[in-house]
Amino acid sequence: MVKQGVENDQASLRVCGRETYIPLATSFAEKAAVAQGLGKPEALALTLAAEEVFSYLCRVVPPEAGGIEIHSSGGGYYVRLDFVFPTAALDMRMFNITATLSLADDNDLDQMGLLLASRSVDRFQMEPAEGNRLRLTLIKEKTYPLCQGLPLPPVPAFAQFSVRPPDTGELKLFAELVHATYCDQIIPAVFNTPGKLVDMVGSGEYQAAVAVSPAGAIGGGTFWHRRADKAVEWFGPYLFNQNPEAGMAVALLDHCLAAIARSSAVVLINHFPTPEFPRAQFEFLGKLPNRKEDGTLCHLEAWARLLREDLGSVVWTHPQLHGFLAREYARLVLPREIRLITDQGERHSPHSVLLSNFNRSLEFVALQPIWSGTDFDENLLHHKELFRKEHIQNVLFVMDLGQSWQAELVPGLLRHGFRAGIILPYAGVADQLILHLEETSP
Amino acid sequence: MSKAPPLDRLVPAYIRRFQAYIPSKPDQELKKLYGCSRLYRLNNNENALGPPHGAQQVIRAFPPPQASIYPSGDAYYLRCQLAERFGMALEQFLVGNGANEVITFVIKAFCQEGDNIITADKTFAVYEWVAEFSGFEARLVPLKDFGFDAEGMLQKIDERTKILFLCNPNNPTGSFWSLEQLRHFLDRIDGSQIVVVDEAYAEFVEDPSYPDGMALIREYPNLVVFRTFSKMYALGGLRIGYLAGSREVVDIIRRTCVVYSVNALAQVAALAALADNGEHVARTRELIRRGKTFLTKEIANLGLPFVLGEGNFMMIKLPMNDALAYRKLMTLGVMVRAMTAFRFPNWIRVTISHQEAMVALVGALGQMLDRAGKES
Repeated sequence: MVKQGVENDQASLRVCGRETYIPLATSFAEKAAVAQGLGKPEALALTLAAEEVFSYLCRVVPPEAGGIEIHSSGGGYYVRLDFVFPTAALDMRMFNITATLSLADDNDLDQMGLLLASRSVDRFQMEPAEGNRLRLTLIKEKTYPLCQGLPLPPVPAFAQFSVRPPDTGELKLFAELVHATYCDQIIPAVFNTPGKLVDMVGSGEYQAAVAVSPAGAIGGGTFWHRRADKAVEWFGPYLFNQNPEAGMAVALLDHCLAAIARSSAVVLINHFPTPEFPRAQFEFLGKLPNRKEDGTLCHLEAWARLLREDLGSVVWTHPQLHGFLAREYARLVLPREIRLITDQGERHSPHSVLLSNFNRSLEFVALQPIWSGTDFDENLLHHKELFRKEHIQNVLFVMDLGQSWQAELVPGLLRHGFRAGIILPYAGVADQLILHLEETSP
Repeated sequence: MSKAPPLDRLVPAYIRRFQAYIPSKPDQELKKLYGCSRLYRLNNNENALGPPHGAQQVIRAFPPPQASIYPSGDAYYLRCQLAERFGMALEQFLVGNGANEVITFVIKAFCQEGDNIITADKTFAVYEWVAEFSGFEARLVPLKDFGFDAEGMLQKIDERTKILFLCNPNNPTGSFWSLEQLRHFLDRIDGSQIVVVDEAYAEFVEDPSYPDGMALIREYPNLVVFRTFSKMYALGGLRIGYLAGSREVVDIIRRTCVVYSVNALAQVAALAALADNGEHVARTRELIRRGKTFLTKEIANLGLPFVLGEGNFMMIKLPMNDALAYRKLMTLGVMVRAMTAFRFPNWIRVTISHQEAMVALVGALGQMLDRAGKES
């Protein structure tokens, strides 16, 4: 997928991991963040995170191991800072949202910077980089004003329309119409901030289309983005005062399909089906229980549509989930070679890291394993306790079935009350499995 | 281990943007994956009769030691034969490793940075792909009533347009421009750009209004015609196709042509195929006629809309996602082409084949639709 406008909006610094370079690293981070569009407060928050991470790396990365690379890139609505450094011995446990510090423990004090960094940014992720190195990514988003909810002119019903990408004004109007027409339960949070939607589309990371009458009225719209290498997430379709049977919803879907048909995308996924969602053209992946704050129980649905012939792939799992996967893959007619992991007594890292993604509008948190560790059970328990204290009733766990190390987490997850729920084809390195925490779990 | 190459710096932006096409796995792998013991291949528009008798004999008789000898670098004898067949000069032909390769020759020969090509949005994908991974813009014009839109293509032309690609008959819709339509288009272009007419399925067409592109080259020196031995002559496994054009244009294209890319067996098999007395073409056309008659009735009985034009294929619209249909049909031993990638969501394309395969297709479609009906 082409990233328009921001492809070259990046800056890099390669620097020796010595504390004397801290001012250089922080100055680089701040100036790049401002140049790439962050406001002053967000740029400072990212700078603080950069300073803490770099200081920490100076302590743990021996200078002779090689330099530290810092890459700053603008994504239109966010700035992304990547640290690439030559060590696998880093203790990343402070990036767990449950991390607490003991001032009596010198080792913990060492980690304090990472804890501060993790709380200063909107998202972070870690992954192995080439050459036995690690890539730590910090993402800070711009701040946008909330949708004001001003009265909008009524949209007339119309039979003739064309589907095309919106201009900036139309995109903002589209966001406001969605905000005014649909309840929060079925729309992503971005519709609360139309300016952010404009920047997301302007960056090329997201694409949008609207259905427009000959007179220029917006009768519907949709948007989508690349969620993973092979997966596109599709939102909508959203219709405003239009006959749902008149073909506009399908026309919006067809527009999206035409745009991605000859890309590397293999699947289109929808987590937020509207009432007008053309279900017959999708495959039902399943649903997850979603307990609302007022105690009512509803379900989150997931639908997918593969875009080409499925050539099969390999997934990894633990024997305890083999039956579930075999049944689901048979139901979905997805050819998969299910490989079982085995413990051969190999050494494991001591500390695990779980990323917590909060979805406030849908009232759930999704945990994603970033790092494997022997403390996984304990770490998972701490996360459960924290969410219970925070009255978060819906806890999901996102497992990438293409990463064999994640399959090792299955026994711990099942012990702690997680149950296999939905398979999302091609949503990760391979398929993703979404597990949910049962309400009555210990 | 040496350090990783700086791909960000080394790789052109248009290559970074381009996504590799992943072809289907070999049949044996697919059968294992989908758990079917028999597979009817209805996805690639292959000729179920196989190559012409003469070509089969030549393939069987090919002396293994000959594999050590380089082939004719520019398919000399085949070009001679083509020149004789079409009443043109040897220099007016170039042979490639399948028609896909000659597409690459033409685009390389005429396009440079900032140039564009024009074709349809719902046609053979390789024109668009080659342009894009070569760094040129592919301007796509929506089909009109399942056919190429001449006016839409003409409107897209600007001073940087170098080539217009027309697939005649069009894969996958089977629509075609008549001689009158093609002439009108070429007259409007008036020699300003190269016009490629891909006639991969020409030998299947029986409609008398279908134009012979080869015959027009004399009048239109900007016209380049593609033909292939993969479809009617069933030599797809050997990869051989060719182009024809005016001497001046072909002389330019020849400069980007990779010599020795067509293997010796393909060259002799193609020669033998050309020597067929028409019996193979007649038998194939008869097979296709019967298959079309059968499918027209049976697909209508299933209540499915379809598009049936010229060529050895048919497009069928399903009340479901085509990629899901592909998987379900695979489990029943029938391989079709899912058409979302052709920008025809919910359509499949099937090859017209022998009766046994057609019966299997209809049976599998019926079974799949029954199950889908029960599930919903």
